Amino acid sequence: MFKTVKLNKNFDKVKVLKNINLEIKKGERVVIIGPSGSGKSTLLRCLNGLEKVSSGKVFFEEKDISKRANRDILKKCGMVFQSFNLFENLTVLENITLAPVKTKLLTQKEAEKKALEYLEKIQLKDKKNSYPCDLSGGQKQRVAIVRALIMNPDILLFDEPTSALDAEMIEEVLDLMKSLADTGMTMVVVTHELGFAKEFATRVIFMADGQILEQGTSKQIFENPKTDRLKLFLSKIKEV
Amino acid sequence: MDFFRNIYENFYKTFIYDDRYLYFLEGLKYTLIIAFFSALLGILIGSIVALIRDYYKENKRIKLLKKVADIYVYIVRGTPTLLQLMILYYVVFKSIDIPIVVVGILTFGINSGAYVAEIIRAGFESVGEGQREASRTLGLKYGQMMHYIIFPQAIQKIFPALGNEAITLLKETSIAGYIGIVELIKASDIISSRTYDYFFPLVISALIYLFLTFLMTKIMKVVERRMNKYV
Repeated sequence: MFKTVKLNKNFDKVKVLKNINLEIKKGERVVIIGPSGSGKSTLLRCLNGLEKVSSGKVFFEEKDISKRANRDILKKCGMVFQSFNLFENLTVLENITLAPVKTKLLTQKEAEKKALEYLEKIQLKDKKNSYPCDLSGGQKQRVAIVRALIMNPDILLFDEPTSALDAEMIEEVLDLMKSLADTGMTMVVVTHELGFAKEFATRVIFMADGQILEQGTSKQIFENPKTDRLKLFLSKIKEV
Repeated sequence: MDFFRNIYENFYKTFIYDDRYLYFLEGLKYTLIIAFFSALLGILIGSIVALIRDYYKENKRIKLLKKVADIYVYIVRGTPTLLQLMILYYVVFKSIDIPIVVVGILTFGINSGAYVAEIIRAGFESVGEGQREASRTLGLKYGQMMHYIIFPQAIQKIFPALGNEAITLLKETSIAGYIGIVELIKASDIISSRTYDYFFPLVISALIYLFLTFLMTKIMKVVERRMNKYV
């Protein structure tokens, strides 16, 4: 679905991504791990055009989107943010229904019906008329996931979806992501939750200093790390 | 008693004699006309300029228009309003026959537009970048994003500042007398020149301005209170 070829990204003179060649196939659940500042989030944001690439190419379903991010293409690529980014001026229900209605994916009626079904599933139906400021972090993130889901995306990108959450809310978000995995959704997740990565991922990518240093199944990555950098990273995490 | 009789006489001289109160009414009328229409013009220009700049920031297109907008704001904010008024009157419209009130409205409207543009920009910027990113990833178009997400949130920051700008504008119209428009200050000046008394005419002008700004502040407070729906 996604393919990057020699992707480079610089912020001013700092090279954030160096020569990333990555391919993500349908049905994969790719988890990207690595120390802070290694370029994980930037890579994710380059995939869907939130960041412009400095050089190299990004393909989404065979189409080159590195020059201009095409809205119709990106509609098929949902994104969940660390800071939720729910529309603060809209209710939960409006948050979910706005985009599918305005992009003519669904009618208002269909969108509302579908949104309520989703809200029922995540047990937030009674919050449908609340504003985001009245929700807890975990509730916000679950609504944000539903908001992305209703667009019927081919792939979902998660940018540290639990990093801004209290410990007790992390679980509810991760559970929702796991239930999505059961539906066969293609997902790319940047996270620091290694336990989750271990059981969730079909492929784990380890990034450091703007490069992909190692990738493989969770077993390969967590039990047989090859590079010293990954060993160091894992041992540091274990100490905590 | 002399003191009071003196006051009364001055008051009579300034206000009643020869129907001089009509000057104030006339002055008030022009002050209000200029302030009102130039505020409308200012909001119109300011909104367009702010949208051009924002559109450029978001889509990196219409670069030329954006440059023009930048230069406009730079020049207007960098020169005195009085100078702009005189340039429009003595240079731009020198040989064109249009009512001076229109020259006044154009000057203050063009002037205010630059400040309104900055106010709206600050309002847009007060809405977090995350709201835009979420809109983009959901496939909303620029216009839809502005209409449904950015503007409803920005307006809460924009409106109070716009009220402030309106008050500034109202007071600034007082320099319109320079090109011969009989607004409030000019009206009181005319009366002073007849009565040789400056105190009463100026105090009355001041009171009228105070009353107008008081009224505007009140209206703004009411509207602001109604707007505080979500935050």
